[in-house]
Amino acid sequence: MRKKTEFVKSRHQLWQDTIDQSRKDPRWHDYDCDIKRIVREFNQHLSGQGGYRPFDWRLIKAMIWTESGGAGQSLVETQPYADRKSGRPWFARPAIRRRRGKFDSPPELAKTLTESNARSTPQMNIRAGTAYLLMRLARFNTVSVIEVLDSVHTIEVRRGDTLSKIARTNGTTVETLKALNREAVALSPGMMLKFKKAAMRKMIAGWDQVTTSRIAQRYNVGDPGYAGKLNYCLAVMKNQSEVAPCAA
Amino acid sequence: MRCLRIIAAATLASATLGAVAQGLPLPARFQGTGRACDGELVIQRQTILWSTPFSVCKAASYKLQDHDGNTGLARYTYRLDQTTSACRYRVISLTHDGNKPEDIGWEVTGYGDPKSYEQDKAAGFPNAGTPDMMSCYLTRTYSQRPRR
Repeated sequence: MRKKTEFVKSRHQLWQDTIDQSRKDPRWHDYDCDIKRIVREFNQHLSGQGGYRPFDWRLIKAMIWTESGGAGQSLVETQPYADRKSGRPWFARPAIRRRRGKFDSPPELAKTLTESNARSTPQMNIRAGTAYLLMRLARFNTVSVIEVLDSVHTIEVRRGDTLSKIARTNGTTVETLKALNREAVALSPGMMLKFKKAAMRKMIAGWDQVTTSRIAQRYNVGDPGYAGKLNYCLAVMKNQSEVAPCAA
Repeated sequence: MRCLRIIAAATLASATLGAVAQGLPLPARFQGTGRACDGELVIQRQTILWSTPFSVCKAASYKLQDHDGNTGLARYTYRLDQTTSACRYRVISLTHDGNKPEDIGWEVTGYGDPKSYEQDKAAGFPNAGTPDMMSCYLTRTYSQRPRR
């Protein structure tokens, strides 16, 4: 039983106790090499895309401890990351993909990641969570993308045609039609238009920098103390010595 | 009147002893952390409530389905008498790591289907994450400052 003279701790103090207890556990470092490797994969793969800036692997470790309650919890052994929403994992939900745009994961990850192994294999769970985080931090634009290998076709304008109707029926986009037919200010029957196959796609236009406040805003759903928890984890890690080097 | 007081006191004592005998002094209040688990779990003598960003189980009556306090990992499993569409779980299983202080080291798992709980139990609770399960880390909180 709790002593009568003991002060009641705040939510945040209790959570700090969790981390303080956890850091004494040798399992605190268990995933360090995995996280370093996974973050390196993403940093290398996304380098140069939309001004992507590599981020520190410790942010992912801080997220994992914030989500799972720290080393030694049974959650860490299966789902260290945040895929604990019932039903389909968040990263695989089509609604998110439609709204946010398709995230271009490293090719190896795209081949091997499944809903099942993201729930049962810690390393895959960390990969899925990291991919989801980056998808939330990417800024997408919808742009017209021309099929580069397609040759230029022509089509005759008929009565009642509009650019959007021509684009829709010929597998191209209004933007492509305008770009290839700059002289065609107004359509008239008999006019010949050039086109190439094209489609509207969501592309990465830029990135929000991976910081604790951005993670709290874009990844987190409702935990008001999220950024503070991440910052506490990072401060704890800063005061710790590095673990043994990881195998290449 | 005195007789009534004695009966009331005896009833209260009996309820308290019952709760303590079950291992988890009630009411018990817990706080979740993180993206999917921020929220609270509140277990009262008659009702249980578990609220997270993706599932809201309002206070509902329950039965204590299982209790195992003999190992290092104490477990209390509650079966809700009824749920709503906003509540994804029928069975709520709460564990505490006996190696940690009583405020921290709690974990709760919700099961959408009681059969999932039985399967998980039969497998020794591997926490394998079947689709209708969700687990969260919790800290135990106290809403009122204890008397000095």
